[in-house]
Amino acid sequence: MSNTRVKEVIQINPTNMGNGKFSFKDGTPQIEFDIPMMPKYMDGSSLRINGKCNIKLANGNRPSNQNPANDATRGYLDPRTGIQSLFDYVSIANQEGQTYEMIKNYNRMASSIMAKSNSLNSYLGGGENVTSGSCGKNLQQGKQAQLESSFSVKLLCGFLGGESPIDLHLVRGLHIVIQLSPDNYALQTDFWTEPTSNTDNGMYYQLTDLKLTFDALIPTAQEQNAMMSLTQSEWEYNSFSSFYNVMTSNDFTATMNINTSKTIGITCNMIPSLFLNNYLYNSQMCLQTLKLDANATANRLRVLVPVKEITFLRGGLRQPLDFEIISTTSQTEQTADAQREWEATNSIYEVWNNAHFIKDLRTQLSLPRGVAAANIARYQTSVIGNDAIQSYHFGVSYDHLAGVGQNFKGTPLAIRFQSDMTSGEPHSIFTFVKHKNTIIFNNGAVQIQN
Amino acid sequence: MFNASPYETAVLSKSTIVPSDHQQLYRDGDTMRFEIPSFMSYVDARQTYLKFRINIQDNDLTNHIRLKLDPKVGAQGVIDRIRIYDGNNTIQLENLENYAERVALTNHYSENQSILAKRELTEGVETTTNFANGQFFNAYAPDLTPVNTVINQNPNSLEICLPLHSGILGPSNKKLFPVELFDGLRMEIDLNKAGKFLKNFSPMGLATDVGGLPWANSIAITTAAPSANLECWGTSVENDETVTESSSTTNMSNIKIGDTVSGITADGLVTLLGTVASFEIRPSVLPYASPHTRITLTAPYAPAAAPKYLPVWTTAGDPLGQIFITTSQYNNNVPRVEIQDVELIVKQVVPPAGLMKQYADAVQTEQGVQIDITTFETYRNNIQASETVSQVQIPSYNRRAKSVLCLPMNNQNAENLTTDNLSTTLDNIKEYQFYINGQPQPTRAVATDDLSKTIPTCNQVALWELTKSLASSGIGVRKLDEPEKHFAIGRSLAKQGGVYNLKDVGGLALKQEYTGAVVNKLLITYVGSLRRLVVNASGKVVEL
Repeated sequence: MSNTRVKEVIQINPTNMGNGKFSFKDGTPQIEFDIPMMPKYMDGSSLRINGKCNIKLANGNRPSNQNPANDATRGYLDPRTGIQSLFDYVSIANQEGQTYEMIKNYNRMASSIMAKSNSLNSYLGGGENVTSGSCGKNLQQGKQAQLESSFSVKLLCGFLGGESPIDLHLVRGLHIVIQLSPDNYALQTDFWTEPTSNTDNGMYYQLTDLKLTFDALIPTAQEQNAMMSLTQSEWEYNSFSSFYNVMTSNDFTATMNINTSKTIGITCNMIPSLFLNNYLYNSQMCLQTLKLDANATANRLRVLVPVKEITFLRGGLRQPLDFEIISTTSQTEQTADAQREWEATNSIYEVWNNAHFIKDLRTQLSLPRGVAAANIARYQTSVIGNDAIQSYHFGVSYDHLAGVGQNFKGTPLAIRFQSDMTSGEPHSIFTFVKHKNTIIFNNGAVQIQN
Repeated sequence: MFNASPYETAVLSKSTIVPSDHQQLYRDGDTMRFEIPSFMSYVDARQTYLKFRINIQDNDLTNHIRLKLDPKVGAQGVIDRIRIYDGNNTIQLENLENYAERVALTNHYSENQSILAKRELTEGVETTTNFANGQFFNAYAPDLTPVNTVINQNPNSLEICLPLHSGILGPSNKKLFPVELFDGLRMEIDLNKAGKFLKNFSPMGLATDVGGLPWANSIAITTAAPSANLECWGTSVENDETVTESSSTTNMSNIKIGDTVSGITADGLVTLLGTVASFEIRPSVLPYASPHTRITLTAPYAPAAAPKYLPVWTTAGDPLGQIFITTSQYNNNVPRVEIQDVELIVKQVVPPAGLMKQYADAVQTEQGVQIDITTFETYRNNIQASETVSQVQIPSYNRRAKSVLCLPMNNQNAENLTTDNLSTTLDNIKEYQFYINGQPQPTRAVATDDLSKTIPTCNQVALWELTKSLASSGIGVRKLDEPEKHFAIGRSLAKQGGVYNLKDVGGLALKQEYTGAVVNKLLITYVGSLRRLVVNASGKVVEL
């Protein structure tokens, strides 16, 4: 009997392999992986979804993004989140069908989290490109889309992201389901920025050669016996729940029953609803309120509508901020919205410690569009061009002290958003609630407390 | 982010506003006062920050100068001193002096690109060197199509959220601070004068005399004299990025109405041309390839010793006229800075009942509640330029010292728009060595002469000593670029986490050796230390 623990890399093919192609248009739009129940420890943070990505036009040809004369053949993924933008919905359950974690609008969540955790240098230097299949710039992402590209991405979910190894016997194996994003969500043309790129070319993406990999620790035989006799345990992790609202007025309150007892923070992003599931726009962008640019060759939503105030309420009381976040002057003068930025960064990470995020003055203000387009944007000198696409977020932290958070069971969360919007243009607000989850294992029964 | 907290009990908190003593306008040089009431109980200093709006008080004399906050510190440079007292104003708990100088240095070594961007977003740090992108300037101002339009160059106000570099109310204080044990807190913040933290973007168009930098920095003109109008557009690198009419005013951004303009004539002499009466933005009509600025002088250019013409200065065969204003004239009107909507955003915490009881019980004992904060004591010494070798005594009596950081500042600098008042000076320093308890530390003098070379190189030991010193005081070092421009003498007094008793050894001394020093210096020494605040049955005590 060996007393040596062995580490191995486990590779798992999708259960629903079919013809090996995963796609909305020409393949299966859902990926399922089954990790069997076994006396091994999984290093959850090492789990990666690996594969190859191909982007094609309706006629099966690849996009031609480097040919400015041929606007009808453009198409590429969101440059900031890359392959993560292809995952619409992620579910982690055990082999017996009990769900541990389920994240809707996973791709939008990635937009918020990655903007707060990846440094500008990652995008400029390509640090994130390798694994997430993202480049940070439209130009490079466009070039990448012309060829088959490979990727190796981790899943941004709490169950897998903790430091503690996962006892695959105790959790009774895992069943991971990834629902893919629609083609017109994941792919975009340049319509938003270039008037001539006005086309719906029916492009689609296809994932092939998919494999799930993770590091597993194989305990000694004695330890394996102990694992198999373990029937009761608790497992704690932080997770995200998502909520969706549509704003159509200049004084809008989104009220949500988030129903989480240990709410650590919330982060929100928004985008004009028109941009979602639309080849003409990047559905992953995080923008503030927009209105039509009447001066553009083709009417497009791209003139910033000033945001005035954001208020966070818990059960009708202002919490955790005793005050509104007022942006009126900053938005009018197009200067840094310091307090909103401070609180938004603090919502998920500790703002005083956070040393990695994509935000700067230019990504906050975005490119000057519309009537002011002839003038000049403020920008950080090393960040140029389409890096300036806005990264607008808002949110608050409820507990950076104990990390346990506030109880929202039976107490609604409300976010009041006041702006100068008069057009009634619908804007989609995605709210992601970070909360602490506890799974209790008891003789094969699983109970989840959130 | 995904790791769950090991705790089960929530610690409720909320951010609330503590207003300043008067909710009106503050100006540079004023003092802000705050009172954190004792009923706020406990405060999370990491999530406490100072919020205000800052703008430049433009007037007829200044509104053509495009300005920025000192790029090293942003709005942190506004602060000169911070004093924190207990709620009864009887005991000074913390005293931070020469705050801006310290933050300017530590900001440099602690930044990476994301942190710089964070400071840009929240602290008003200016990352651009381009006039047109300055945050005080309205980059979205309408086009200046009509001539004779003059725009206010600094119309914006910046929203600022400043984390304080304080041991009690700053992010370095990682523990809840029991405000109620001190009957509340009172904080006073003395503000620097504007000349210390408000800077211009470029030396363009400024010169002291003909022997200085006038033609390197001044502005090309093509209009031959005599004429009341000077048609100007920039030729310097700074202006390569100027592409619009509004930005073409940046050519003249250091010249304002009422200035006396000088020019350099064929014989290389300086001639007064006249006083600026107005500016105009002129369209791009040949011979001007781009929009440019016209200055109208109060009197036509008519030099006494005719014939003298502008343009006359030639470089590589190209005629380039040169005009400039004197730097002293430029600095005569340093604008005031206005600070309004001042709020201290305090994270008020309701701690677990057990902690509150524990503190309440401990206060009744002789040992009491002991709170250690990491703070900086400031000491100052003067070093004359004539001193080749100097040894200054730093009378620190800190019993829990962690590190020492010495900043040699040029003591002859005026506080104005063109002088960098927050940078240190090398002044040809050759080496240094500390003496602690009669022993030289390090055992051999630390060479610093490479930093002063024409093409500076790094003195590795000096940089390593500085890195250790910063780290010992809790400052994460992420950047070691350009040590010659951010010079400081550092010494870690104890390994990270440890302390050293300077009281028992009577402080420390710093010996410096110079080769060809030219300026009188102010040596600002910060001793990073743990300060122990004790609340016991006898009252409140501060132990150094």
